Amino acid sequence: MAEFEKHGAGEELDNLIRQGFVVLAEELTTDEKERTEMLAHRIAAQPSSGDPDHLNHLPEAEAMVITARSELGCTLILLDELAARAVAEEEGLRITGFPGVVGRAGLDGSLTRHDIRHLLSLCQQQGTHYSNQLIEHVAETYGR
Amino acid sequence: MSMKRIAPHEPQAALLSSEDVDRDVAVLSEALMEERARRIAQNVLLRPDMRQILGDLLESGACENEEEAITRGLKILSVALLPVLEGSGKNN
Repeated sequence: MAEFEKHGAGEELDNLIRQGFVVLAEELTTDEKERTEMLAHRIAAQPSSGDPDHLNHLPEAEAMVITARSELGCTLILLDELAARAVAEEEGLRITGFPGVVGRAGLDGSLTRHDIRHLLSLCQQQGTHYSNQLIEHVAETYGR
Repeated sequence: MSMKRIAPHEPQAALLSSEDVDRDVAVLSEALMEERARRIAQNVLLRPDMRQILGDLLESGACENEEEAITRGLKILSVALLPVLEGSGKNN
């Protein structure tokens, strides 16, 4: 939840939980906590990681551990941070990112180029690291 | 109204490239297609009348398994409807 708050999506997430679109995973087991720590260290050690403190990578590591729970039937994990994506790939997880989700919604005809620019710029303004070039690419390639 | 711009909370995070996003869209599209296929298969295979037909086909030895029965069934249907499909220009 802290990670979503950080991205400015805390309130939206609360609504989605209330509406039943988002399922809350139960607390991590001791084994899962150990695995989370280990994955966070691996993310921190990636060449593409600009933050050597593994504690700052715990949210992504936790997401990977939860994704691996068979009862949840997760087929994809959503990660934007390159270092975390590299570790997820090593773990054999299938990855997509938020701009990819937005792009796919554009392909489906749900989002216009203008919508895509607006959404990704909003994330950028909230502090997510998307370049202007990336935003233009997604809008022009996938927006209707 | 202009929105307040805040500093990146992961200022050192490496940026996603356009190629990363293109790959992400492809991966997501593939996952959605698989999910749709799973749902369709589940809807078909859980119907008692379909289970009966599939069971009969397998028992007769006409098909080795459910996948073969469904595939052959669709192929036969498309051949049977060929004149209609050609007429509508869908099979050119």
